[in-house]
Amino acid sequence: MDRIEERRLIKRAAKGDHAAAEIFVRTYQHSVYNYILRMCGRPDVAEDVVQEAFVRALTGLDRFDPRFRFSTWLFVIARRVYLNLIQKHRPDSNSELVEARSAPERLPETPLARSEATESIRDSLQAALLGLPADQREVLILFHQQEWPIRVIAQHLGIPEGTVKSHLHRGRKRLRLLLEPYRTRIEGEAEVLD
Amino acid sequence: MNDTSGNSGKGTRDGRGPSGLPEPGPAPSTAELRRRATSYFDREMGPAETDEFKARLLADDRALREFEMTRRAIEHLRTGRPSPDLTRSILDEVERRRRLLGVHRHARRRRIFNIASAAGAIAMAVLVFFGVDSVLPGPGGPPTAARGPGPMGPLVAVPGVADRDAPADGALALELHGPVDASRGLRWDISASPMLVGAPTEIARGSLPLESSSWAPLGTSGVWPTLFPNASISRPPASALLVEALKVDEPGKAASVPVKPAAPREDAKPGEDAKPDKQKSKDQPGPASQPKPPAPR
Repeated sequence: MDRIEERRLIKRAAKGDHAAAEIFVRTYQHSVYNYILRMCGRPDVAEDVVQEAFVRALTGLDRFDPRFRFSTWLFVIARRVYLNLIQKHRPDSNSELVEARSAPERLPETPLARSEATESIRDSLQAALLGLPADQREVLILFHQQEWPIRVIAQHLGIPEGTVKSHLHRGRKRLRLLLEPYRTRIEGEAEVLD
Repeated sequence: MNDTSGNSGKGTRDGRGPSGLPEPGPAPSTAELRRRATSYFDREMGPAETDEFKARLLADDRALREFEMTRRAIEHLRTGRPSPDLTRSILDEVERRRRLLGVHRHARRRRIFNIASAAGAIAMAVLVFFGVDSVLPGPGGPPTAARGPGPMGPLVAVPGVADRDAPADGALALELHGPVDASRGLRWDISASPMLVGAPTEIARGSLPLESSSWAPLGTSGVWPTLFPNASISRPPASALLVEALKVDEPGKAASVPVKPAAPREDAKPGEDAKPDKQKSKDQPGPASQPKPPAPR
């Protein structure tokens, strides 16, 4: 979606055009969902956050700054909603994340995380991802999943580009270490898949 | 091997041998391969360099294993899919919230309107209380007549000004029967001759009653010094002499209303000049020779 088309759609959506709003939702819901899903590891939470982010964005289009892209704005809102959510419900909904933060070098040890980790290779990967500190995890997601340039990530997170690179390298290294216990499983699956 | 860095193997053929494969060279160490892997995942590697790196990687089991683990973890980041009804759910919620916001905005506008109305009414009341005639120009022109002893507007009879009363300390007062429309410019000319005089003590406190049916004391305190900063107020006998109630109205209907002096009070102390004394009053010096009152509070 180019900028001209985006602005035209924003004007329509701001006036209550349902079809224009739907175009935005269909265009960006997957990327925002994936971003939040990998941040929190819970599909239900991710869907709630995505829904709330879209609702806030589409009902607040009169406050949209046209200098930015809608997607950038949407990601900022989604991130804020997510951070508010984990601040509010941290002990209940994100215990594995808290655990991981307190001991980032080892895997989450909550029964839920452990059982998930034994279920499938994807759960193992997700568990390892949740074992990363939140800032490293977020940089990894934005760079490798959303394929944002380092400069954009730095702006989005409000940190220097050097810090983004540092998080990126350390995050990948730590992720590899966290995946080491699942190496046999992952390699076995890789052989099957290959 | 999938290319997850976004680098493409197509394009330049730099660094390739005649068979299309990278030129053989000295085998890089595992540490060097790790460094190159970082560069690869950072999307900093060109296509030719990528091909060469991948070829080297195959020769180092350890580096290859680490590379594969990282690549799979990165691939995992992209695998999530929301439930199929998420789109509908989002759009329904947007619609519901818009309706709700619409209702709230309407209610908020109504609340703001009510608050503004109340504030406006209060402001109007304050303006009226503190002399709207000095703020709003009347039909006879801007309200400059009341400022000082200069010429005033035409004098008209004030409907309802009929009598006076003598409040505490023998201060002069007017009794207004029926409301007086302040917006038409009620003026009290206390600097004109004969001027307003008051009681031995401070003239009764009070403010200008714009709509009142009770007696209204004229005083040196309250709003009077503010309304008439150039007025000269002396210490006359207990009974006042005369005051003119002026009202700016349509031209041709001007008149002044003399007000009778207050009656002497029965509980006046001996020695005090509590009785009305017209002659003495008339002997009072005019405003030009009157001492100025202290600055109004």
